[in-house]
Amino acid sequence: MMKKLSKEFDDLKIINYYVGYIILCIAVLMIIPIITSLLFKEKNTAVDFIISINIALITGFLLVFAGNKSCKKFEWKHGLIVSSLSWIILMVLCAVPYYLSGNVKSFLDACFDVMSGFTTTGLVLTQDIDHLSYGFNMWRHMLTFIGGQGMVVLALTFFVKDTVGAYKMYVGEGKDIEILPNVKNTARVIWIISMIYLAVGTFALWIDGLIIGLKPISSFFHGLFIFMSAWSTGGFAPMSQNMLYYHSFSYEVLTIIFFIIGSFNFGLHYAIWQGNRNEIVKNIETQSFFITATITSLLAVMGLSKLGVYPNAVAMFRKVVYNVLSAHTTTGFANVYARQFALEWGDFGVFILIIAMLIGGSACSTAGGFKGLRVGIVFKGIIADIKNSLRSERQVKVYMFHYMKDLVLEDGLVRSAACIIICYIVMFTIATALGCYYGYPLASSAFEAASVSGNVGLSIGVTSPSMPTLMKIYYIIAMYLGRLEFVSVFALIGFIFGGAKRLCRRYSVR
Amino acid sequence: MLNRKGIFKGLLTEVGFVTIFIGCLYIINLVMAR
Repeated sequence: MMKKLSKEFDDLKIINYYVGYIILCIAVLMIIPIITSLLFKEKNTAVDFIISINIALITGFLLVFAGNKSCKKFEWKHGLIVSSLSWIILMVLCAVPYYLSGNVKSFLDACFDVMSGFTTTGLVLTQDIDHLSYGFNMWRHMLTFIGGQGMVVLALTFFVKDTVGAYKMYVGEGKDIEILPNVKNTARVIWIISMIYLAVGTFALWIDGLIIGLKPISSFFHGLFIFMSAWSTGGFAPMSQNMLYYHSFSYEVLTIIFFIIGSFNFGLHYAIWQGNRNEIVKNIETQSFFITATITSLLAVMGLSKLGVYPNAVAMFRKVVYNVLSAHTTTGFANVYARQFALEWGDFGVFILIIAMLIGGSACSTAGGFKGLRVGIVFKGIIADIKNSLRSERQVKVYMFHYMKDLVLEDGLVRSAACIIICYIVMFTIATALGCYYGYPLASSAFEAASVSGNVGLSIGVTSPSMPTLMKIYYIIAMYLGRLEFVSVFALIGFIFGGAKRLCRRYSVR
Repeated sequence: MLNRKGIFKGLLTEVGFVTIFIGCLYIINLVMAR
């Protein structure tokens, strides 16, 4: 009997071991905000993080010691569950400094902000953002930077020595592109690309910050935080006015460049950096993105020109095109106040933003939404079906698309892309219905639902500390599901229910 | 793996391409918003 029970727990032991390792990896990163706080003599923030790092390290060590990586073969279900479970545990552990800071109304609000950071959404429930400490701001923006790359990717790059099951954990985090044959090397390449852009982007924003009048140290940290947010398409900003704070066209243009590049597939970056520069034009995702970004921007400009909200073409570009591109790349930077979307943009403008947010950025990037790859595949699938119906039955045509290399457009591929899109639409519909149930107007509910489902972060005013608790919980779930793209979360739910069912059966047989 | 020349050219390609795209959007916006 004991032997049977111990076999049942083998799955749990493997999962505990790797989840514990990932938690230890993220816990160690809390040293960075501690150092930042000490540099700026922010004692209270330093103490908050010292408490939090201890809690996280103890939790991580307990899980590693309770676990055992060699008791069973590492299977796909373990990889998916390690990824999805580590995100939930890390959400709770990383919310501790938020709660200790006193800037959130409740621990649930703290969890909301952490999940918003990890999933690179950018919706905020933290209060008094303009007066947050440097250490706390460093942590907020690090969460988007880490979350964009992926916790598992980070752990694989720096901390996990063996590669057994590494690819299965990597896929569980919503990535599947193999830049190099070895998944650890793939994870390293992702980090190398991100760190090089971090250096270049922070420098560019630092210089521009000095030009627009920020002080040197302030300009550096604003540049660092804004770049981390732009690259990860997160949308967090050090000031509550978001991009409106800077009142600078050049700053906005720099952020557009960085968040568009940040929304590209890491495989695309690697291919271009290896010398295959045509990939940026041939790739189905970039083609899909540039077409949909142009169409949505133009439609929004046409719609708002009729309303006469903005006085001239430059204002139109800065206020309309900027926010449409921010929505489409699922970044969430805004240079208008949240309520202006509802009061000044009109129904058509809000509708275009919703479509842009749902379409999203590239697969295997930091962006959310349906993803350009899926939109492109489904669109090509529809065209192929129409052409096949008009063709003679004896003719067989193979349809191709280019994604790093030429691939055949198979029915299974179109079906799985369509399935994920349907999951996103269901999630979006439930979020919209929930907003309407609590009395928010339909357009506002749909806007916020698209923002949450697509991990965008633009707000029309619905997200606030006074939002109903059920909506906060659902939004956390939606951000989490959207970022991990459903499969690993469904695996976790299946594992929990399956385990509970087996336990109930065992006790009822007795 | 990556080398310095490839990284530099890659950065220039990506930043340049996106800048050109933004420039084109700006020009189209100037025409549409009249």
